[in-house]
Amino acid sequence: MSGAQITSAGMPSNGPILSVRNLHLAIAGRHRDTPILRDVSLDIVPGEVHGLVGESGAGKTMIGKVILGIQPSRARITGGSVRFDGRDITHLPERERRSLMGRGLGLIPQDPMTSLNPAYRIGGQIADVLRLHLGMDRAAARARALELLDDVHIREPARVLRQYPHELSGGMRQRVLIAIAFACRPKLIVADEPTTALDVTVQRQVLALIKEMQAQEGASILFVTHDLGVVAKICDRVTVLHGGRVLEAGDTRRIVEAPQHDYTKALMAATPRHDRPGDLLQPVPEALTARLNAEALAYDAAPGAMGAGHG
Amino acid sequence: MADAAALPGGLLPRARESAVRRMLANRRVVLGGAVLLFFALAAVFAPLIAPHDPVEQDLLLQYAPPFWSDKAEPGYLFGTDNLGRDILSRLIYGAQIALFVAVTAAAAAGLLGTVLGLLAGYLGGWVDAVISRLVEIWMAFPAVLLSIVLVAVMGTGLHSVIIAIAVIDWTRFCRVVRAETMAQKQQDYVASAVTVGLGRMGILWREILPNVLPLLLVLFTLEMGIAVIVEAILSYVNLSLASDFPTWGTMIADGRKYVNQAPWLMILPIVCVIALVLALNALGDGLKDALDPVMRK
Repeated sequence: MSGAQITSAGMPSNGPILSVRNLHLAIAGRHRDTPILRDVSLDIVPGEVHGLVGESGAGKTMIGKVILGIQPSRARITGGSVRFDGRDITHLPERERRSLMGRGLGLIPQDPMTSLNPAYRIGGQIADVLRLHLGMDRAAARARALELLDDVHIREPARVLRQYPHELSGGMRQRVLIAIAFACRPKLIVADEPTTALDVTVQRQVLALIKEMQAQEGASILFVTHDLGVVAKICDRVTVLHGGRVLEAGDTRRIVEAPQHDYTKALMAATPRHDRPGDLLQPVPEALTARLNAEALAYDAAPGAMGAGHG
Repeated sequence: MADAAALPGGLLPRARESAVRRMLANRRVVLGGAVLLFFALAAVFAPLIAPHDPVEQDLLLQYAPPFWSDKAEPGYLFGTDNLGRDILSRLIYGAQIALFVAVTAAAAAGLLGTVLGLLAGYLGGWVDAVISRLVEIWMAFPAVLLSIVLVAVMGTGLHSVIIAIAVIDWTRFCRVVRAETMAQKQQDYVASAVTVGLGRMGILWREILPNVLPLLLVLFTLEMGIAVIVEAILSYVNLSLASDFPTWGTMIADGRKYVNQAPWLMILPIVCVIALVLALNALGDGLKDALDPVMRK
């Protein structure tokens, strides 16, 4: 897919590559199920970077996991659909799901320190993916791996190919993981808080790199984060999540400059802004959180009665 | 600050090389390894270095004492036994049998235990339940008794000894490998492997197994020590090789009858068993210390 299909506002001019519709998910418990996602809907169009914002426990990571099919075994999808490239991928057989990975879907994980296999050299781990999905031979895979490391701005790529993960810093490892995620030119990449585990200076570089790779390869990205500041920098559109419900969704500019929902406003007040350096940061008011939690429980009691707003 | 992400890799510690260095810096690894190497060389080059045929009898030369005695016979460093056979040669060939049994039995037990442990730890659910119960039932049997029963059923001989050790001791590997597999399974690199489209078995063999290998090396070394003892016990009670073949256990059993006239007949093979087993245990423990911090980081 190429980025040319997006309009300036980032709204769909074509069918969405990913369409989550009225998704419900619960964790099965001994006595009763605990709802995690409540009627979540979102669309990602080709070439779009879509932010998924919310605090811990909002269910944002779970949405990413459902898309990739790596949700915990106790998580049950109790309603709705996730359509990727036109077909529902929530109940795909193992074999078909595997063929979707790599070329269709990719992941940039949260923790670069533990996401590479400590037993293999960097080159081998990149080449494995290329050989698995693109059927490259050893030499071609090596050449392409070298190219990919160069694409993610790793100096001395030939040397890094021969190194083991523990020999690299966190930022370097995240670059390698980004290279792996983009290796087979997937249509959609789930970036699960890809900068959270990195220190601030490296965060900025990694963000810029993800944006650059995305523009170069034309993939769509679902960018899961709790940081509205990051969203403002990188995302075309945003979905705001709390308690497993979508509270607000829309263009990044609109959300940042004129948030509608009280929670989004509270999140903005809690985010440092370089354009208003004097402002004091406000934590999300407890009364608001309590109100939202009560709404979520009321929704569980009578699904559909409460209109969870879509942007 | 300069671009931290682009620091040349050479500035960071090269921990894999230092794992080897750490092993060599570990006294137990070096000492245990040296003793093991000594016995291994003796075993491999037995036909070249043994001064006599280990089963050749010389009834005119019974009970020749070892070199430290005044009455020692030249050419018979450790003396001779009740049938005039050269003790040194018998010990050398005994090392051959001891190490052969140790390696093959530990490998067989390791193979069986590792495969089941990997499956139990990775698949979980009923597979884990079945394998874990099997391990528990297995471990309820006293090992020595079970081995004697097994050898009695299969008939005496080296192959029976090896099979008996493997069949009994696979549980050691299985339990540890299962636990380590469960720990590795939680690691993010396994989730990453799923998202690049590797299948379940592919993840188990190609992603998890290599990370369990250092542990297997330790277990294997310790199991070799156990195998040496079990082989000695079984040949002591005459359930291993035919008694004229020089295993250390047989030599101890034979020597016991003449312990008053010729105590060295019994002492020398006992020293060999103890030295080899201690060496293997020290090596195993040392490897555990040397490999652990690197792989767990």
